[in-house]
Amino acid sequence: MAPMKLLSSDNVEIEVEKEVAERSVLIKNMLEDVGDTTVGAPIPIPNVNEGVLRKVIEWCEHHRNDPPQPADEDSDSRKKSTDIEEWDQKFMQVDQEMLFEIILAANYLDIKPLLDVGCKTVANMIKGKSPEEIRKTFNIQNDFTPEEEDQIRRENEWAEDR
Amino acid sequence: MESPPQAMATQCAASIGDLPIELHEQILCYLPWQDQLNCEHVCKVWREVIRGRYSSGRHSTAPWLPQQNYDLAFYAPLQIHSLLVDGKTFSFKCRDGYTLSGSPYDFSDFVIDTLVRNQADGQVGFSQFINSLEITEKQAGASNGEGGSQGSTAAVLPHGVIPISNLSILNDMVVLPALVYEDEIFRFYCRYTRLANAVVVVDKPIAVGTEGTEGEGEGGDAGSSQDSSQASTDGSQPSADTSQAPADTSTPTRISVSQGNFMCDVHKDTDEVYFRLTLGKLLLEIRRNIIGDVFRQEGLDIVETENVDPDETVAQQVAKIERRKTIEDAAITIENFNFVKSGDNQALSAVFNAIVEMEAPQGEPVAT
Repeated sequence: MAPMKLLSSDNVEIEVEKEVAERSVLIKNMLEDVGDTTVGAPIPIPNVNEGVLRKVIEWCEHHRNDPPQPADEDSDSRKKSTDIEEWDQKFMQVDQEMLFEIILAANYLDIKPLLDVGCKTVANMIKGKSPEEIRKTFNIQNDFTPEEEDQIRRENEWAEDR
Repeated sequence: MESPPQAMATQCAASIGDLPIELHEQILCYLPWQDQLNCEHVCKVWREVIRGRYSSGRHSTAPWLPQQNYDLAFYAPLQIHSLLVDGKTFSFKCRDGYTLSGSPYDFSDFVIDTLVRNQADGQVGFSQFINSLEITEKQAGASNGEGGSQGSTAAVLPHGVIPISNLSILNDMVVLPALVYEDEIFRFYCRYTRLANAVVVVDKPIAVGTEGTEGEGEGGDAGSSQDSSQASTDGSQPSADTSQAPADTSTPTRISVSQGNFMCDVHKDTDEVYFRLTLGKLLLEIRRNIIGDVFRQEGLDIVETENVDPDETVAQQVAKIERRKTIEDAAITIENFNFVKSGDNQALSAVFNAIVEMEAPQGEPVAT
């Protein structure tokens, strides 16, 4: 399998098989544009540092043989389910910074299935939490005035006593 | 390939705030509606994401409403939506009409004739549909200490009434929370209080009896309501009346006529995963039940059965049929529409007040 090199934002070269790297639509398109890349300079990935890039590559290697995603990618059933397969769950057991770095990298590199797993992981962290707990978990500032909070509460009143 | 040490990630710590807005949207999308409601309280960005998911220009939406592909340029959905969120007063009328491929349209007879002739393949059906819907704006100065009753109705203050066009949109408006699973909700419970809207005309005496049918069919409850409304007439005239045409200066008084409840079936989506109830279907169900209630109360619900009273004259029967028609043409006003969660079954339900306003032969609103 043809090897190739990626260059992280902190200037570390990482060797990766072409097939694995091509899980990234961005890299795949790049390679198609450039043509034969078995020779030549490493592809710079300016937005992703080494640690994150290695993590992303780890995911791509595990999922190298996954079938392509179905075309109707916005179908409701896919959207609603937050089920994550076991390996991915373990993979996502990282600290929050890394989690968001992975999501950002997956977004930048255009690796849709990884992005989905990342977003689902975050969604699962939100589930069942109160607004205050959510803010605490993600260190989000409460930027509502008391009046605005009151307004939202009124509008959602029908669901309060569930 | 080995996982790198965690420390590497911390050199440029990322947080949830670093994600672009579309990723916030994707994350929140995965959540069931209860969690989405919670997330609205977290911060402004999330509120905007959740409420503005389907339109950037909207400022008043909620997650249980339309998850639909309607054209966002439509103005109507926003107005209609606020009916439910703000508990606005609105009234609507229904009539029999044609449906095309399951959706009601108010076509001219000519168009329908042509369609029926040209495609007799079941595309064109016949059913009831809503042919007008008006929102009554709450008047800023109208609450003159009347114990919270919304004293003004569509009949009284025309400038506070917003007619809604594009009614076909009603069938795209999902009333239930957008993300509902089978085990959560499959029926929508409605509980209503039907109110009598006894109208007393103040400064324009109506010539009674010219049509010979005036006052016929008015139940005892409506009659008794006259007394109390009469008493309050003089004191409670809203100041807005000065700007009104002299024809319709009246103060409606609300009296509870009956209470009841019913259930709407919630339709399974084609993908068999989610359940939904459209606003159009809900309104038709409300109307069907309320009208049926009126029929029962006036003893009109047996007109079409074989069980006809032998002592009844033909004229009486005709009068009954006429009365039924009048009731069926009535505008139904819904006030104080509220979503609630009922304790025992945890199903979502709605509570509201309903008023049936019929047109008397002279165009005077008549209470039931």
